[in-house]
Amino acid sequence: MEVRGQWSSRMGFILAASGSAIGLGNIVFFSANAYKFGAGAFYVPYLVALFVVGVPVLLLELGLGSWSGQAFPQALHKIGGRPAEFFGWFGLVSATFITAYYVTILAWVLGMWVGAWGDALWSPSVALPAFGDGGLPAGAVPNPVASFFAMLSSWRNVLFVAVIWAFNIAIVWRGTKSIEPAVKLFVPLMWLFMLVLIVRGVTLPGGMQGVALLFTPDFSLMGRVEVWHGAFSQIFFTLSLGFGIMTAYASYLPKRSDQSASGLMIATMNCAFEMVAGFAIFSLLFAFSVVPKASTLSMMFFVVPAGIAAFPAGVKLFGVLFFTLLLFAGLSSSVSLVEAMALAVCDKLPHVRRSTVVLGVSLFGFVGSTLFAIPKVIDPGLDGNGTLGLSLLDLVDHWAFSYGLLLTGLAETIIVGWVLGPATLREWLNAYGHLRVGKWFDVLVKYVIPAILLFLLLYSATNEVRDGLYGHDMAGAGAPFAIGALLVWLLGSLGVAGVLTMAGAPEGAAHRVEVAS
Amino acid sequence: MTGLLLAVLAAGAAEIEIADVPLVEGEPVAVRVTGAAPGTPLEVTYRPGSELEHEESLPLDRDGAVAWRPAEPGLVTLAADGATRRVSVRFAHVPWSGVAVFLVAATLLFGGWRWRWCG
Repeated sequence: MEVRGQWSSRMGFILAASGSAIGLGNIVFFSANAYKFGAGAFYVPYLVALFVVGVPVLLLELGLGSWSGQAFPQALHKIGGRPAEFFGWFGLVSATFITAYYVTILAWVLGMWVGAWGDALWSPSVALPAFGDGGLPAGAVPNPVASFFAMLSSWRNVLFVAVIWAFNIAIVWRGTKSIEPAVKLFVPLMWLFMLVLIVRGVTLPGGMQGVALLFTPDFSLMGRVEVWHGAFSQIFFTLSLGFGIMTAYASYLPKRSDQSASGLMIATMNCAFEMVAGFAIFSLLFAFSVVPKASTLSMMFFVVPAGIAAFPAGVKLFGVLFFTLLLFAGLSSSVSLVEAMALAVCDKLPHVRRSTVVLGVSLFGFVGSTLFAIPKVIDPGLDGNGTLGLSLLDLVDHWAFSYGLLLTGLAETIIVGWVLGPATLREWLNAYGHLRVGKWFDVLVKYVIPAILLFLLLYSATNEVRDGLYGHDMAGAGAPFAIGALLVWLLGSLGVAGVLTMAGAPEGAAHRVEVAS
Repeated sequence: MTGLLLAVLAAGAAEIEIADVPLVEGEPVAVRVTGAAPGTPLEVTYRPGSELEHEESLPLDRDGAVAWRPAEPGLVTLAADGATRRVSVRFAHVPWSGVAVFLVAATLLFGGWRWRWCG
């Protein structure tokens, strides 16, 4: 039986948790959302959401980890037995679906990083033989777009998937002992690279005007439900809530650690990074009149590179820097996703070696990532997603990301709010925290947050019914694929969660903690 | 990710020319569309792709010219007879409401870091 690890310092834990929260979405998706919802008008609901939902749920997940000393499903088991544990596994399996395509996206970032060293991505036009009748000629689409689809439609991107999984396995292999040094390198470098991009962005002609655009509100938008829905969803996703990551990471802390101050630190560090990333992105958008799309992929691979390609000098340098930043941010998040699942399985099956569990979880993820990287072109005209892999990714992302995490968040707040009682967790947080958590925590966890999460879910579901599944008319050609992806995610998550809930005995985890202490 | 959908625009014969000066909210600028069919208007889209997107249609004169006065700052798309051009319009004055939102956000987000040292 192996001994459970611990963070060597509080700073190591904070860097790991903030590295998990700061991912690809912070760098590009926040800016896309902010632009879509009126920039400054988005900031007010965003800040409200941070303190009404983000910080309390983060404290709840961190508290669960240190209170139980166990991974997410086992922590919930301690409160509500196997039914509660089931929801923990459901969240983790959904998160594993997300891990699979997240690694594929990181593999594409690696492919673009490799391309950024050459000329094809930036200057000469690229032809796309696999697209269109006889292929799209050079110059038919902008170069970053052409380079991306050229890479996507070749088996090279499967090789990149293997490389990214190898990095993940190496970093997760020894738990905190290998994760901590990695995040101590990645997180400071992310801030440094972002600083360089900000300086370059705001010193471009019109760059500061872009920053002004980011913060200047149009208050007429604030009465619209879509803006509030976008802000609350953004906060939930950006803080990596509902993945079970924060509970896993906090379970590696000593019992007497200060969770409340750490939680506030992690939340504000994450959102501050989003804010400064907005500086860099908006200055670039304004300087080169690039219109953003509300999509992480288009912002990452088309919009921002198009802006960098227009730099008067240092195009390759800033291009490589941008993709390196994405790689570090993505890796520090993906390792936390793998670790959350691996730790939960280790806690569930204490007699199985950690290395076996890490390899098993990674193999499952690698198969999924490879499916999302299938280079078969199914849309030669580029009117849709281009390849089979990207189309699958798009569909699974819609269900697992938009619904899976919020469902898990709803379940965990109900379990803590109505079964354990939020006061128990609050008293635990206050026992060792210098920053006292007030009774507002009880009200938010018991009533307000479940109501908000339920609203977000019902609002999205209502849109599906009104507009068709993920925008696909139920009688249309795309509907079977949308329904198929929904069934694969839902039945897969429920089925695997059921099997894992019934497997082994949670008592094994408690024994592992005793060994460690 | 539906935003990933790409529209490969067919190159039109028309071309939009604009005075080579920074565009500023409320200040008129000369726009000329060469090669456009007679009677074609200049379609101005403010904040394209956002919830604030709205359009303005300006009639071109016989020479295909128009004096455009940008109604608001931000990203704008100009389109006429198949030709498109994206431009950025600057703020005419310091946007004080933006400064206020920035200060509140920066204070809350960067101020939160000090809790790191409480423990």
